[in-house]
Amino acid sequence: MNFINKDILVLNIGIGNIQSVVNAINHTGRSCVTGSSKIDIDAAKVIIFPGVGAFGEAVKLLKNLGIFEYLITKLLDKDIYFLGICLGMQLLFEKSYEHGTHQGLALLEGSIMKMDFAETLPHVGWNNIDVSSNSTLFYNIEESSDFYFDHSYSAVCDSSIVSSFVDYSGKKVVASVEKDNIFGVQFHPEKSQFLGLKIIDNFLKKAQSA
Amino acid sequence: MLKKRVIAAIMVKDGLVVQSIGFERYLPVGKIDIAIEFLEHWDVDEIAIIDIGATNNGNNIDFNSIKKASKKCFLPISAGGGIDNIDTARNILASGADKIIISSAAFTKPSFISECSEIFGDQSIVVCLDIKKMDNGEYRCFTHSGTIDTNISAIEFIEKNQNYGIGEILINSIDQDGSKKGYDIELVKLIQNIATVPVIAMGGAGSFEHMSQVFKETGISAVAAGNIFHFVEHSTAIAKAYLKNSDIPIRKSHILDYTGHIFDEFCRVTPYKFVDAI
Repeated sequence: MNFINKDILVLNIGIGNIQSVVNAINHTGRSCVTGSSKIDIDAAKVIIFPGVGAFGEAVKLLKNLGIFEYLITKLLDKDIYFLGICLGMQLLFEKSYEHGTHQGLALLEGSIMKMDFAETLPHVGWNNIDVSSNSTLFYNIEESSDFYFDHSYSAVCDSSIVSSFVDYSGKKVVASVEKDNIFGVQFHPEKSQFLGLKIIDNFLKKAQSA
Repeated sequence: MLKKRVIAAIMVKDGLVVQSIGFERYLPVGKIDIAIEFLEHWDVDEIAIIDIGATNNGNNIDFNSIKKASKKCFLPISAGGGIDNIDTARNILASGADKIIISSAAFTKPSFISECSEIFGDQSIVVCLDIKKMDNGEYRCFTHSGTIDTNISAIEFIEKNQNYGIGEILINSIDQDGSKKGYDIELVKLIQNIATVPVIAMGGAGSFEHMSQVFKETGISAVAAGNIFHFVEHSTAIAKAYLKNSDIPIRKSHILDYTGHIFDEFCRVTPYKFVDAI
């Protein structure tokens, strides 16, 4: 199945680097739309949620747009493939402790905690990851490749949903999660040059073949 | 392991990329999007676009140039110049930049950094300090392209502000700018010692040895340079290979890899000569 125009939705809630994600999808030879309405979500087969921003602010915006609960229902459906990037991945979890305590979409079990163990925060720059064997996102990507990270908070969750870890300050930090129709990456594939585009392509291929 | 970054700084004045010398003289280099296209192909780790005329002219950085540039650029981009309100910050991020660079407004509007961080997150905020060494040895922050003395020392500013929303500190030495004499190691060391956020050194790189030196002597996260990258073919790829040859952990290249080559005094690759053969 090939995607047509409105199949791929880049969720735009007013914060975050929307343009780069659109550019990356276009670069894989696909078109996409941006939007944040229930109509946009209904029309979509794939939702990519880019994230630059603070957790609480993003939750507030999703609620103001009236799509917080709607997104949960839609994603539980398993018909829609979802890729959360950075904050977009963190929002999938139950709660976050970034500037207070905030409830997330709770589609994945776990919480978002500050990486207090590190001497320097944020964790910013290119870092190599360790991938588990059955990952969809990292298909055909060389082991120990570098990706671009920029975050101070990270997911703390059961390792069964984690598809890759990154080492920061001597600790294993969740770099990506994969569960059924739900995918999330802590790093920025849209900013990780060739290999990052490959990850977006791998995700879209998986969604296409579903 | 987290790699050390090589950042290409693109200084923009009146819509053109310029070479900056001592914050006083500017030589035109070319168009922004062309510069970015080259740097992306030359495997740089990150790009910083700084509109050095923006604060003084009362303008903001040109969103369209970022938008155009980011279309073909799949690397992290930070952008700044004259950012002093949330709407401008939001527009810059929406145009394809990942981080905003705040400079003068960090001093003229003290609450601005924390306001931005609450909306966009600390990781999106780079604070650029233009620093001059005073006669008494104090390193002091200047604003408005180095023309206004804030009377605040760099150390004091960082100690007071780094826990309130700053994601990274870009230290730009006014004295070394365009000098090709190397980074101000003393300044970088001072700041690296007190900083709890990643520090980027800028100003004075005249050779790739200067980059290797500042990494080895201070342990900072990244180096930035402008001029040196604009006048040598494949400059950033060569810089990374040079650093790799000097045992600095650098991101593996997937486009251009000069690791193992040696370089002449003009930072060019010396053909058919390899490190192992020496």
